[in-house]
Amino acid sequence: MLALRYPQQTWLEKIPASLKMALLAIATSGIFFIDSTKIMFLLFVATISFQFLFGWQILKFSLGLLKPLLPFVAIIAFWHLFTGDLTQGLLIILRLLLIFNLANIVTCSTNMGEISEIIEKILSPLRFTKINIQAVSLCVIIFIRFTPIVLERHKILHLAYKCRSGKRPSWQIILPLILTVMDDADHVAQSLRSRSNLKV
Amino acid sequence: MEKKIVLVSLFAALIAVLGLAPKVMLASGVPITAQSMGIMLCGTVLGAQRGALAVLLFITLTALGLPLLSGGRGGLGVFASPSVGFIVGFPLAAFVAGWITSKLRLINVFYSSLLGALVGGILILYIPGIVGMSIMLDKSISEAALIALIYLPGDCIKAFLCAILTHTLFKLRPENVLSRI
Repeated sequence: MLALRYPQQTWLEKIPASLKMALLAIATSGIFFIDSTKIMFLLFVATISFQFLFGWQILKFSLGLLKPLLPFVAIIAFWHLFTGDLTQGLLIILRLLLIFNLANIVTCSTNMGEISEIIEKILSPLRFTKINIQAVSLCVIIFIRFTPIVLERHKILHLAYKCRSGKRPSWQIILPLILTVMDDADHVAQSLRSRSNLKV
Repeated sequence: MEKKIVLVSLFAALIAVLGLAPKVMLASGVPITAQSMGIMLCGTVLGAQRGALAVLLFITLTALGLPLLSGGRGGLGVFASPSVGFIVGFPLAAFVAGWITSKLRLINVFYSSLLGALVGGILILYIPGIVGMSIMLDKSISEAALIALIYLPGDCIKAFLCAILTHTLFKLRPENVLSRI
């Protein structure tokens, strides 16, 4: 499944996406006004404890999502260790982890369709411009359908290169991948032309 | 119209797949992924408008919650991370890379795409990237620029590889390098 969701259902999914997004926007803006490390720490612990209420599996999943921030945490910690202002460094790290975690809670507990509906509402004024909303929807469908196919092809090229050379490929397989994508584009476009009634 | 829609969608898928490719470690210990090279390639191969649209589609779907960024990142959280400026700047980077590649038709495609990738994928991309880092990490612009410098060697390598790939594609199938048509 190509989506970022919690491993099990929670009651958070029953809350309307628009309400969750509005609360996230208010919380994110408010967090920037907090100067106290203690309050920031308590808020971060509160969000972690909140996720723990849904079970160990969800907490583990949520903590795993924070991993990509580790290089930034290391840079900030090193920087403030160097400048001697560790309290400020801690405040920045906690703020970063808190905002990222809150945004992840909303993403993982919201159906992609619901977020997409909100985006459609936001984009609705574009109907009065020349932008083709039907084309945008088609782009999304083709993307979701073809990403696993392109990924599978990448794996096959990776394996073929490894078998032939005995080395792990890096950039060498990108060109054949682009060529296959271009071939696919020709075939899919031809199918669309013959089967769809897309207004040009 | 159909071809344009399909190319935009499939190149967005290509950016996603390049982000999932294994990382390469530089001598400095900084890991580099092929994803930002995918952004440069969108511009140099598809051209300014199509390239920017492919990247915009990729970012919109990432915001919707698909874990498409390198390291399996996705969702609204990425817009609250220090890389927010880079992510927001991706479509502009692809647009500039494509615009330069298509404007410099009279020179060899390797040099025009190299210049496009360097200016669009590094110079233009680093402006919002550094501003984003400065806001999210509470640092001055010069301090944020210093932090961003660690990514510069990797991005220069990617711009060079992007130029090689665009040039080779142009030699094999010139009709597929739409920025030069």
